[in-house]
Amino acid sequence: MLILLYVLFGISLVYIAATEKFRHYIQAYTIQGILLFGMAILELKNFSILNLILILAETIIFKSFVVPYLLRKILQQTGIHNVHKRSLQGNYTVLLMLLFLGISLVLAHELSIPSVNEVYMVIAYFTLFTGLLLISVRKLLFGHLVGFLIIENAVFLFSIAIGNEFPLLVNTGILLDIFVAVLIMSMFLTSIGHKMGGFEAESLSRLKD
Amino acid sequence: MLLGIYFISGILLAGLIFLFPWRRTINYFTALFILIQILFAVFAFFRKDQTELRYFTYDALSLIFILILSLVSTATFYHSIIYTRDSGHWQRALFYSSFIILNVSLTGVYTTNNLIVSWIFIEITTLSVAYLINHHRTANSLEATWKYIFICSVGIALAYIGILFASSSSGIAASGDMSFNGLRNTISTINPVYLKMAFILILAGYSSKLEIFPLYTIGIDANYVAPSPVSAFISSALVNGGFVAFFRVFQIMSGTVVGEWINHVLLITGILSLAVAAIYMQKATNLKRIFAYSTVEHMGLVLIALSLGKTGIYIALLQIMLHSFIKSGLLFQTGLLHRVLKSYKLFKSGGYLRVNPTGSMVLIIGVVLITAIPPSALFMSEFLLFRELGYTNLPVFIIVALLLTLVFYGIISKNLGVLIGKPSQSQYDTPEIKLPEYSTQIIFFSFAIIATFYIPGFLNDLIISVSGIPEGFLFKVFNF
Repeated sequence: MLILLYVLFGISLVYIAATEKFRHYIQAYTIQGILLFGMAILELKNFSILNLILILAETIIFKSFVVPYLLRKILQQTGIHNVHKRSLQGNYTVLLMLLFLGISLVLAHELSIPSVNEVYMVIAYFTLFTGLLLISVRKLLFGHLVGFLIIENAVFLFSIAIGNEFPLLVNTGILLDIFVAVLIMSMFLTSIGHKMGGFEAESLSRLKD
Repeated sequence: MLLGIYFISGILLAGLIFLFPWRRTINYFTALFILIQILFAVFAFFRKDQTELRYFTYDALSLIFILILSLVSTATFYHSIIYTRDSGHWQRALFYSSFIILNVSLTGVYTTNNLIVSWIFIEITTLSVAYLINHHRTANSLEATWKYIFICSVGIALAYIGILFASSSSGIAASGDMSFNGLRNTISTINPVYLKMAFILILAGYSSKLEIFPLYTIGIDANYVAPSPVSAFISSALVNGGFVAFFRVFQIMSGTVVGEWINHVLLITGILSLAVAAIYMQKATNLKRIFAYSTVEHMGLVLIALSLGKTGIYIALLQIMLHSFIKSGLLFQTGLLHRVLKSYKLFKSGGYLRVNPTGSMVLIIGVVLITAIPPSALFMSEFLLFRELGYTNLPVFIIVALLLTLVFYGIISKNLGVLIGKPSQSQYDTPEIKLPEYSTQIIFFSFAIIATFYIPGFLNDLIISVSGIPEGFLFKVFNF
């Protein structure tokens, strides 16, 4: 069961990298929230009711409902639907993703931690690389935002890896991280396009020497 | 208990500011917080090495930085009162509320004994400083804020993965003890490859806060657009927060088998930071950006010093302490300069010496001190640094000397342009700057001069206790 969730999560990452429509990003991100909840429940052996509530809030409530809702609002208000024409095309991104998957496999194997499932670490590294890749190759700020959200998912995956109990402090840290994401999105929603006259990363280039 | 009172009163006062958002009440609430901050610092000194609320300890390192924070935040508050005089109620309320939360979160970063709590407070500093950077709500400030939040968050997320990596491979997470001591006790069991990876992630992640290579750029932009009292605070107290968070991990990891490798990484990162500062400073056309690059330069020197062992830690702490006072003083003065010349841009500034001789004298003293010209105590720390480099690594000695010469040229030539260059306007509508407005700069600069001859015993003991060098080290070097 757990392996199936890992594989589905990996596929959702490739899908995000390959697609050029932002609403597909949101759909995949919503599914990732549910998959993360499943992984956390199956992976963690001991957790309190409070921890369970926090995990539920982080994954299902925030990652599958609140954040996708805000992302949809942004798309509606900004009127952007597709990645920038000058962005790296989907098929090239998939090739890069395959390269990163290979690197993740090597890293997880070479740096295996006895207490952590190796396949699990492959997915965690792969998620991190996907987030960084999206930030690097996407020209629109919305793509960067999704990249950041994917990195957050990587943080969540690494957090589950640290132990069977998923300490309360780690949960607090992750919740705070999600709060930052929501803050970034509300800033994005209200101000940037309006004041900068566009949503391209290049429009943020006033501050130079 | 003490820390609990401090945290609760900070949060309460930050909230009350929104309930009563009038200028006078905001000033009272913030002044009350500053008083609490100072009292907290005093009481913390009497509780050295005691742990409170499980996750916080008043160790020597935290005491040094709490002291600096109290002084810098007092001066920042004083300059902010004048700066926000014409701001709207809500804008002012948001400013002071964020300022209080930033102070509280920095105290959390300085005092915590736990890896995850340190990360959480660092994240809160990002959120609270964002509102301060975006105070003017212009396109420039929004751009700087977006970049700051975004890059800091990505950087801190990477640092967090590094922390989790170290925790999971050491097994401290499984035991539930994620304290620095827990990591110290189990670190010898970690595979060196994990350690290296965790260190790289933590260094790269926290570089956004430390204002060093590679993520230094957001600090430069933030300094440039933020109100000058905020720039002063960012360049000193906030950078110190990044330093403390990083230093605690560094101190643990440097005692392991990868210690030598870590020193190499720090040396390279330090030189790269110094190089980007030296090069971009020549290109900069804005006085605040020049001082921001100077922060990158000083933090680069701090990293180089850290790579030199115990003596290096002493030098690094001295450097960062003195830098906090001089840089914040300089940026407060830059704010006053802006009120006179109406611009930070070099081609629009000029003739400052003629228009505002008192302010010019303060600026000259600040520039002399930041470039480590005697009687600046920075001369002493940089002399010690060069002495160590001369003994251990001559090529690095030469590279650092060349880069510092470039930095020196950049700061002096650009400031000379502002002081005696051609004014952009024939007549400046000179605003009245009252003498007390220079007081904080003069006090901070005096600290930096007095420290050349005398470092108070209690402070020296704290630095020695963090660095672990033998007592009487300075006496031996300088033959006092």
